[in-house]
Amino acid sequence: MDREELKKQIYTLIEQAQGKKKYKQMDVIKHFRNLGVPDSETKEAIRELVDGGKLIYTYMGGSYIELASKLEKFEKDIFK
Amino acid sequence: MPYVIPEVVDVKQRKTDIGPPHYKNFLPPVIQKNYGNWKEHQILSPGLMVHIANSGDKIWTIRVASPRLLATDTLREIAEIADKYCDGYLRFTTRNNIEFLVSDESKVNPLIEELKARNFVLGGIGSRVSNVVHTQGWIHCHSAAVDASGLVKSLMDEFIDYFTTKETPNKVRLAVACCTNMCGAVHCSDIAFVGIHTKVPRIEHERFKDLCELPTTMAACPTAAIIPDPAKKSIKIKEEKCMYCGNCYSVCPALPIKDPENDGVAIVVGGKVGNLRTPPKFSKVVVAFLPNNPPRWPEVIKATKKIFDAYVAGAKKHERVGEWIERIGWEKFFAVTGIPFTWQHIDDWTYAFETFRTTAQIKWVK
Amino acid sequence: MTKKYDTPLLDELEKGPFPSFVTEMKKAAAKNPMAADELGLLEKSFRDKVTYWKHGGIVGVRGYGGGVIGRYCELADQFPGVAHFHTVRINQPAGLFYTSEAIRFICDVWDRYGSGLTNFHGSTGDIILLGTITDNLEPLATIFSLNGFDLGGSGSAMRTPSCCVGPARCEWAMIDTLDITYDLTQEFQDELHRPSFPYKFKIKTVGCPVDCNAAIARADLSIIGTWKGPIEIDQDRVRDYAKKGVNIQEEIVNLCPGKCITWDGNNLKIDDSDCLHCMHCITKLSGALKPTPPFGATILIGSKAPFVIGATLSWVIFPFMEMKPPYQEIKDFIRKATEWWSEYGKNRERIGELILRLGMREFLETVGLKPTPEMVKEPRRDPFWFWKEGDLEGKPWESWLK
Repeated sequence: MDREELKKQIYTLIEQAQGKKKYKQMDVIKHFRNLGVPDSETKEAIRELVDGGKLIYTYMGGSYIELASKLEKFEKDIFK
Repeated sequence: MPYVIPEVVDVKQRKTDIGPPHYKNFLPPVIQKNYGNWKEHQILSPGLMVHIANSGDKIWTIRVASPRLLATDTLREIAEIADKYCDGYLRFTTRNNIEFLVSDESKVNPLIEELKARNFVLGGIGSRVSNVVHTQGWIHCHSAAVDASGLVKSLMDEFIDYFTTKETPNKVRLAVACCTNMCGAVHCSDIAFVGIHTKVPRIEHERFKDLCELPTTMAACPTAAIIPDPAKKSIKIKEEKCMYCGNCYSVCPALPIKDPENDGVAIVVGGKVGNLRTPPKFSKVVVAFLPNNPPRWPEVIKATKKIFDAYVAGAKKHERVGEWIERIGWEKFFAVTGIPFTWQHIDDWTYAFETFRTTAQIKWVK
Repeated sequence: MTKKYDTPLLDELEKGPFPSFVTEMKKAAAKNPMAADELGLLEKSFRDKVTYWKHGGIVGVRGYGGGVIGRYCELADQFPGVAHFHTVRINQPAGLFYTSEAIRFICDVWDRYGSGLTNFHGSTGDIILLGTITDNLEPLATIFSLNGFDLGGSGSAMRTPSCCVGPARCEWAMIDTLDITYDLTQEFQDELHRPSFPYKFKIKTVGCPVDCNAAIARADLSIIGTWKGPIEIDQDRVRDYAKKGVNIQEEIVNLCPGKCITWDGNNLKIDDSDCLHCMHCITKLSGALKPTPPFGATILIGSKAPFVIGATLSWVIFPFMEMKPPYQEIKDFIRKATEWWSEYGKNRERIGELILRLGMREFLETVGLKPTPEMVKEPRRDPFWFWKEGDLEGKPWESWLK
């Protein structure tokens, strides 16, 4: 899979799981491993998404990968 | 190396994954020269020791207490003192003490005098009470059942003579964890304090949906007391199975457990991490609950003094608290400290079977 | 002017001989509005006997998943200065040595971008900067990085490795704890900053079995310096100790767990083949007894606080490993072990817990080790166990019964 396509699919995976399932980095890697994507490629794609500010790491008793837009919403909610 | 703080910060310049600065940048020349070549050390007083290298070089260490929570003003003060007497070199210990590193013997006594004049408390070296390892408490933690810094201050005020002058049979390591999550890992200390809850968490069903994951929340429970509540898209708690550990709250903010009246402090004793004489040991519960009573926690201090005094009176030289208890036996420990033995002292969790007495070897105590 | 709060309960804790954290908070509060509200909030906690902080593990700096602990106050209306009050973890220099210049630099940055309150240090070992707002995080991380400092670990990641004072100022250090810590920290920067593990992974290195950094109790990977050579004895120094009042028989011989020391009133003898390498005699007769090479480390795995299965102490995996730069063997081991754990571990399951769940055999085979008696306190008790295909191949009893 081409890198940009992989990044798009990773983003979509996280986006569609919002509110249903929280993905850890390894969960994402395993998901794409089942689709034939090598682990290292998924890892690099995740890193590009995080470095690019599209995804962030979050922590709630364990670390997850979530949409970066969640932070703004989180801070807005927290001051409600 | 000159440090630079730009007036305008361009965050695009940020470098990543550079790691910490190399430790050699911070070592005094006498340490750089004798690194890995120390011969011995001598404790000259409770707050002063000298290390002697194979080359004959010496470095003096002056240790002072710190509350760990330090304002930048105080850090600047110790930096200034280090400049005056230590060519700017200082370090901290893993138990939060400050150590001034002096290479010039003639500066040792003037430094001690200046530290005393500035009200620093010298001590903590050798067989005595050192500073307390502890967690954040109410200062900064969402899961703190009790405060940590306040309890530490109250304890150290009580045992200050054992930091500055008096000796104990061996080192006495104190630790405070403000909840059972124990981010300070107090499970192997001579005498340690843990903030505990005694009531079941409250379930905020509306918030659960938004904030929490069902499998993670269920998995956080050590006794499988959490079960799904599909109707509410939330969970139920089997109250009879809950041990009030609060681990579920760590992963799910919709399960608050803090309780001003029913939270308290437990005391665990007899742990150690060193391998000297006997293997490392876990601390064991000796007081299951004392009230959470700020600002000075008088009940906790009083109970600690009972344990501490019994240890100082009864232990042989070099025995840590846990070694002393192993020698005299637990029945005798409860007798000499006057602490009542209760239901909560008998384990009913993971390691229960290992703790039941499987011998007729018993000491008869009054 | 910062806001002033009445703090009668906290004032109580300014009395007494031990240095007061309240005094520290007041110093910061006098010039910093965040610290002032932090003081007011703490007084309220002392009055109400509860904490007023919320969860908040979502903020960080671009690209990293660790190093910042998000914290928000439940009473933001009453104490707006601590509405956000995030912790920044700065990776400490190994051994906790500083120059006054470095300390002042940290103060200058923190007075400008934070509350002015710090911890030297946090439990894991990092420099803790307590209390800043989300907008300050990027500038802070930038300034620190331009001056050679980086953020420490947090979350489900490699945590900031730490060590004892080691060969910098201790005659008993049998491995270079500072160098090992620095080297491993650099090696695992990606794992430290980008949480990819099931849960936290802590490494603590100590120079000898005295364990001044509690490695055996607080680290998923405990590296404990030890030795294999005989204990060298300076008989004159031992006699000196005896003359100065040390009761060699009572304090040294009788307390030796290996029961391998004898003392005839003039000469100390050690049967090194029965020595357990506990350090008691060496530490009590400083300068008179000395461990000799080969030096290396015992590598243990698995210690942690009680959640979820109960507190654990680390257990032996490598009884002895040489620890020389570039430390390839331990690095390879860490990679193999954490890859296996990332593959099979559940969310929030520590590596030790996974080993207990899947079995030591599974783990040891993964990292390429054979069982040895040094790994256990005692063999198993009950007479049923797993066999794997091949365990009895080649009639293994024949060779040792020969």
